[in-house]
Amino acid sequence: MNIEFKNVSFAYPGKENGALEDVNFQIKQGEFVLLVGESGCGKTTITRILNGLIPSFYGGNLKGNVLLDGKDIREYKSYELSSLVGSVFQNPRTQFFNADTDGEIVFGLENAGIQRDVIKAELDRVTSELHLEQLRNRNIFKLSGGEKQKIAFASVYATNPKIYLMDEPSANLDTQGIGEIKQCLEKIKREGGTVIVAEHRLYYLTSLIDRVIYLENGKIKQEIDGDTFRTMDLNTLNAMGLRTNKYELPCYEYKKCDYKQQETKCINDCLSLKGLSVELNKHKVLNSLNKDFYPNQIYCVVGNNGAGKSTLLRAICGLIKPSQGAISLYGKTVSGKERMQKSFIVMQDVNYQLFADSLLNECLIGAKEDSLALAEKTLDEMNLLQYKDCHPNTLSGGQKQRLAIAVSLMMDKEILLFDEPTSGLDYKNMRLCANILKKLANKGKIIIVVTHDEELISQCCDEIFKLENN
Amino acid sequence: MNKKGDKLNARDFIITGIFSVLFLMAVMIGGGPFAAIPSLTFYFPIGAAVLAGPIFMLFIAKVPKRGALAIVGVVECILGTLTGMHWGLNFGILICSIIAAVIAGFENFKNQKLNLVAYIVYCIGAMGTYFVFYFNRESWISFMLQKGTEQSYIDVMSSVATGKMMLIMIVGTIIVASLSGLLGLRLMRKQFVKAGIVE
Amino acid sequence: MIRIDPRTKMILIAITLLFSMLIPTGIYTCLWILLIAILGILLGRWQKTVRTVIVFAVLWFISLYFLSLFSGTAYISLMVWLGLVFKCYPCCMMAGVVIGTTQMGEFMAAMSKWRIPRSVVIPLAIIFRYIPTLKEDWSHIRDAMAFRGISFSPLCFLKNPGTVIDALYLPVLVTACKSADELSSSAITRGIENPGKRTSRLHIKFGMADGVLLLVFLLAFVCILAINKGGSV
Repeated sequence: MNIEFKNVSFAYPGKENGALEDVNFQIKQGEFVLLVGESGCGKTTITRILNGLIPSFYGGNLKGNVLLDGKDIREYKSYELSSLVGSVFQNPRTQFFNADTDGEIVFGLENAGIQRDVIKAELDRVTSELHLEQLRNRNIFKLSGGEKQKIAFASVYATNPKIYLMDEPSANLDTQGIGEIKQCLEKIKREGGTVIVAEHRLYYLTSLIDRVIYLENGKIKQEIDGDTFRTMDLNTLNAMGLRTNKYELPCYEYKKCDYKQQETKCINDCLSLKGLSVELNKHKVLNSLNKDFYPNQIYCVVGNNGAGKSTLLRAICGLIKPSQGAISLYGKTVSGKERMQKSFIVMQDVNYQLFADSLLNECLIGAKEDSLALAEKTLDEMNLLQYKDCHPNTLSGGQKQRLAIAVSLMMDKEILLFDEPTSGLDYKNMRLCANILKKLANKGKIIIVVTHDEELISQCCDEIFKLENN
Repeated sequence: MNKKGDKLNARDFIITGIFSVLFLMAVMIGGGPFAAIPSLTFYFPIGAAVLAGPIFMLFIAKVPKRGALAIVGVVECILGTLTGMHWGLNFGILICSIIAAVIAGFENFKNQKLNLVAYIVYCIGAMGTYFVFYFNRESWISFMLQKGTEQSYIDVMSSVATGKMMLIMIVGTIIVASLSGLLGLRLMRKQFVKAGIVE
Repeated sequence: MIRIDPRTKMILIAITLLFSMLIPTGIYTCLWILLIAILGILLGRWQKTVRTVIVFAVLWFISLYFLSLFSGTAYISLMVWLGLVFKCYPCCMMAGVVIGTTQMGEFMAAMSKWRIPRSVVIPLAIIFRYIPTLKEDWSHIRDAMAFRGISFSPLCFLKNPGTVIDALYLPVLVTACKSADELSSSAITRGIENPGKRTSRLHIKFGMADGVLLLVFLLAFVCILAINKGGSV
C-alpha cells in the first residue's frame, strides 16, 4: 500500500502546536520511515492523520489530500482503516482494553467479526512468531511496561495491517523493553510491511531505517535517506535538535552498591542508608543496602526491571517503610514522616502532582504569606515565568516537570528524587533537564535520579550506581 | 456548533464508562456511611450528592449529548440490580438520569442554570427507595421482610421515617446538590476549561 | 475447571436476585452461599471463593452466638448491620464470581449475541477495566499530596478548603480524561466502531455444564420457595 501526502495542512482547534503546513511526501510499501523533529513539530499529527484519528477524534480542519493507493483516506470509516493501518501508542498503561493478554491480542479480530477458528489460528501464529509464550493467559495489569507494549504490538500484528504506525513506542520503556520492541519491528521489516515511527529516541531504530523525514514547525525540512543518516555524527544531530543515532556502550564505571557493613567516612554531611532492606509482598526487594548520598552531586540509579529502583526512591522519601535498616540525614536519624517533609519526588507522570489553576498558585500552595516574589523568582529560574497565569495542564511534559521542581524549591526540600525524568523528552528538553539538575545540585540539594536514558547520564551524572536483583 | 450530532460514538461510550466509575465512587464514599446505619439511612441521598457535582458538570461538558447521561442511568441501574439494591433506588436513578438529560439537553448542555437543575434532579433519583418506603409503607415492609431484613431494622427505620424526616431528606438533598453543582460550575470555569480538558 | 457461557452466568445472577428478594434470611441463605461457592470453585476461582465463604461463616457464627452478649443500642445496630450484610451477600458474592471469571471479550461477544446495544455493553466493560487503573492513579495522587502537606483531614480542609477541593478533583479528572482519550484512540484504531456482530476466540455456546448448573440453581430456588411458602401458611 502506497501512501501519498499532497499539500496537507492541518491545525488542531485552538492549539498552535503540532500543526502541519503544506506537507508533501510519499511512502512506498515496505519502507521503514522515521519521523523526527522537536516536540510539537507535527510528527504525531502525521501518524494521527494516517490512522484516521484526525479529523474524527481530534477535530480540526484537514486540508489537502492523503491518499492510500490512490484512494482518499477520508473515504474510509474508522474500522475499515483499522484493518489497513495498525497503531501502537506510547503509554502502555492505557492502551489495553481487556484485562487478559489473550483477549487483548485478538481484540482487533473480534471487533472485525472474524470467525472463531480463524481467530484461534491467528492467536497461535502471533504467539509463535513474536515469541509470546510466556505472556499468554496472563493478567495485563501485572505485566511490565515492555511486556504491555509487546502485547499492544501483538494485537496490531494479529490484524495483519499493511501499514504499522508507531507513536513514540519507547517513551515509557526501559532498555529491555526497547530491545523487545526492536525485535518486533525487525520482524515486520523482514516481512515487507510499511513502518512509520514518530520518535525521539533514535538509536534503537538506526539499523532498520530506510528514510528519515525531519520536520520543523509543521513543515518538512529535510528528507534523509537511511545510509546517510547512519553516518551522521552526534553534533549534526544535536544541532537539528535530535538525539543520538548510536547506542554507545556506556564507558563510565558503575559504582557497585555496597551490601556489606562498612565504615562510612563521615555521615554528618550526607544522606546515609545503612543496612536498608525493604520487603514488598513477602518478597525482599532491597537487601541490606549501604549507600551515602552527598549534596552537590547528581546520583543516577540504573538497573533492570524489578531490581528495586522505584522501591529505593520510595523508601528514601518515606512512602514505604523499610523492614530493616536506618536512614539518617546529616547525622540525624530521620523517621518516614520527616523524610517526607524533607524530600520530594518528581514522578514519571507529573499530572498526579499538579493541583492548582495557575503556575503561580501552584507554587503558592502551602507557602507563607509574602511568597509571591519568591514564587515569581523560582518560576523565572525554571524558564516558566511567562506562563505564570496559565493552567499547569496546558504545559508540555518538560515544562510540567520544571513546575514540579519549582514547587519543591518553594518548599525548601533538601532531597530531590526523579523517576525517569526524560522519558518522552526530545533532545533540547533533555538538555534543559540536565542543566536544571546541575543547577539544583549546585544549590546543595541531594539529587537522586532513576533513569535508563544514557544521554542524560552522560550529560550530568556524577555517580551512577546499579541495582541488581538479589 | 453541534456538528457531531446527537449520536454517540465509541469515544463517548468510553468516556461514559470512565465517568460512571467516578460517579459510583462519589456516591459510595459520600453516601455509603449513611446507608448502612438505619437511623441515618435517610441521609444517604444527601451524602451521595456531595461529591458528584463537579464530576457531573465535567461529564456533560465533555459529552453534551442526551444519550450519554441516560446511559449513565442505565448502567447504574443495572449495577444496582446486580448487587441486590432496592428497585426504588435503581429505577429512581434511571428515571431521574433520563429526566436530567432531557432538562440539560434543552439548551444543548450549555445553560448553566439548566445544568444545575439537571444535577439536582439526578440526585433526587437516589431517594427512590425512601419515597417508596414512605408512600407505601406496608408493601415496603413486607417486601423487605421477605428479603430478610430484620424486623428491628424496620422498626428503627419506621420510627425514624416521619414526615419531618422526609422533608429533611428532600430539602437537604436539594440544598447539598445545589452546592455541589455550584462547586462543579465554579471548578469548570476556574479549572477544567482553563486546563483544556473540555473541548 | 469448567467454563460456562457468560449468558448463563447472567441468568444465575437473576435467579440469585429473585432468591434474595423472595426468601428471608435464614438457613436457606447459607445453602445458597454454599451453592455459589461450589459454582465459584468449579469455575476455578477457589481462593477468593473460599475466603468469601469463611467471612460469611464467621459473620453468621457471630450473629448466632455472640450477638446475645450485647444489649441495647449496640445490639440493635449490630444486628441491623448484620442483617443488611446477609441480605446483600448472595448477590454480591455471585456478582464477584461472575466478574472474576468472565473475560471482557467473552462478555462483549455474549452480549452481542443477545443483541444488547453497544451503548450499554462498552460502558459496562470499561467500568471494570478502569477500576484498577483508578485505584493506581489515586494512590499516586495521595502520595503526591503527602509531599505537599495536603490531606483530607478536617483540620487541613479548614485551613485550605480551596486547595483540598482542587487536590480532590483536578488530578483525578485530568488523568481520567487522559486515560479516556488514550483508551479510545487505542480501541478505535483497532476497529471498535465496527457495527457488525462481534465474535470471540472463546466458544460462546450453551453446553452441558450450562444446562446442569441452570437446572440445579432453578430447582434449588423452586424447592426453597415451595418449602418456604408452605411453611409460612
